[in-house]
Amino acid sequence: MSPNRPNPPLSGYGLGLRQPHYEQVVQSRAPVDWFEILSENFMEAHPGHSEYLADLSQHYPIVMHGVAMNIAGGDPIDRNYLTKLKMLAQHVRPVCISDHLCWTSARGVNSHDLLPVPYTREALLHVVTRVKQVQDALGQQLVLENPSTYTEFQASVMPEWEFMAELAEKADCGLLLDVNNVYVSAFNHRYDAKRYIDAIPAARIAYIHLAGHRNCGTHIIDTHDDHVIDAVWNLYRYTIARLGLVSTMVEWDGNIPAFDVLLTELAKTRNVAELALAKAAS
Amino acid sequence: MNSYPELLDRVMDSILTGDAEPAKALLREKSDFPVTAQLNVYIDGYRLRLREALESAYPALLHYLGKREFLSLADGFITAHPSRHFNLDAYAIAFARYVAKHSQDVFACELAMLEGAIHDVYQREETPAIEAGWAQHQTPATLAEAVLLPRAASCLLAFTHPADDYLTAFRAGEKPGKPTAQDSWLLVVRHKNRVNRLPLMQGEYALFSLLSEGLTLAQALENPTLAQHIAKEDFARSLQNWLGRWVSEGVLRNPS
Repeated sequence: MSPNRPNPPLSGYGLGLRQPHYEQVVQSRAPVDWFEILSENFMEAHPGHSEYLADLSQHYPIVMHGVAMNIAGGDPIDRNYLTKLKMLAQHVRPVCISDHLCWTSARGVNSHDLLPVPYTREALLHVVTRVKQVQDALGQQLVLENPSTYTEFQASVMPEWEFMAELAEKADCGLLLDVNNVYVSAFNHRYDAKRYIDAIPAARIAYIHLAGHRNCGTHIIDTHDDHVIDAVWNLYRYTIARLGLVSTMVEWDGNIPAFDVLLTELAKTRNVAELALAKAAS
Repeated sequence: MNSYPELLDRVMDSILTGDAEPAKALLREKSDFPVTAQLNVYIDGYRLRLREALESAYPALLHYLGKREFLSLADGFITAHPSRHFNLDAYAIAFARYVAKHSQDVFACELAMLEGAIHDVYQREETPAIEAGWAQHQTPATLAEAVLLPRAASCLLAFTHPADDYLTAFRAGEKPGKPTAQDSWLLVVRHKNRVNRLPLMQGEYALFSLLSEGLTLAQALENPTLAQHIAKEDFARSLQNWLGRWVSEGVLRNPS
């Protein structure tokens, strides 16, 4: 099904596609290398959405990114969810399918949030098993994103970066490195974000997320509703210098601005990455 | 020591109840960001997210009731009916039934029913529509025996207030006040990926109701209910107008 050392499936610079921009993207043939769609927005879609995705996929590679797979949840894997996700994938033919290392529901109740995982051996075995089940069901590799978290469990026996790295190896899955989330979690849990970047297996990274957040003083909330801040750009520079060029996209989920604003942010991403690479090479 | 599922259950208990206690002892303190504050990010986020989903699906109801009363109903709904589906859009549909059960304001209940129906119809399965020109291919005999069912993505509504007029005014940017009671009838239908609202006359509503039950056209026209709302001598002209409109608006399901 998948190679032991997956090759990054994406190249170039992408954007998270959000509803206010649907028509403009297709009509204007936006200068973007690929788009990431939110899977749940299209999994129970009526035919209009299917037609839109068919049109979009003719012009752009698409990544399907989910928020409700509940990969680390204690409830059995939702077969209805997987079936609908697979049907969407058969229609869209995504370059990759991603979700988050988190749990979202318990006892059948959905929090609609990305809840933190206790990084225990029991949890690792549990998640590895579920990732393999999902990959078998989908017929392709799953890519998991590091979450932003606001709390840590007393029971955790390893840091998140070790958990992610070991999960990727044991489950043979890909990683979506959200550099903003690394920054947010590092701030909230008082560790050095560069330790996280240094520990992530580069060969497992399928692509990178960048986004904005809200700093509340004692903690940061991952709001995805603003520009990327300078400190995250610096961490991104560090990431590219260490990992080499990795396909990167900008996420903006709230207070969504005009599409031109996203294109400007994406252009900045390209500049930052290219300069970081050039500096690392010199 | 708690098992993995137990750890998750206790965190979910805190989120659903809004009480940090179940999960507090499981988590690591930080001097300037205590565990209670950490949990409150998730607790507050949970309620905020569901409130936003309801406000987004029922904006006219929110305007009519005002924020305080709307949120009182919303919070009651969220507590009584936690989300059990991965699609947050689907969560809002049931709020209309909750409002109908818990609000004494008849117009609020009807406005909720209307906005809930729009939301519901948007997400329903697709069924093909009878095509334009269908009626021209029918003989009087085939027309009489026709079973004309509504498409799956539709909803027939009756109100004691002009709820649709209120919604139209609200969507036009006006700030309408509570309307005077007046019966009204409406069909909400999704056609060519758009949700449309078709105001109906009383006789049209009555005929459509009968047809929706699976009666043939002839049976529906003979039904005494219809004669209460429309004179028999007007049947033929009204039927021609209504059928033409229903076909052009994509209301009727293609039986083939």
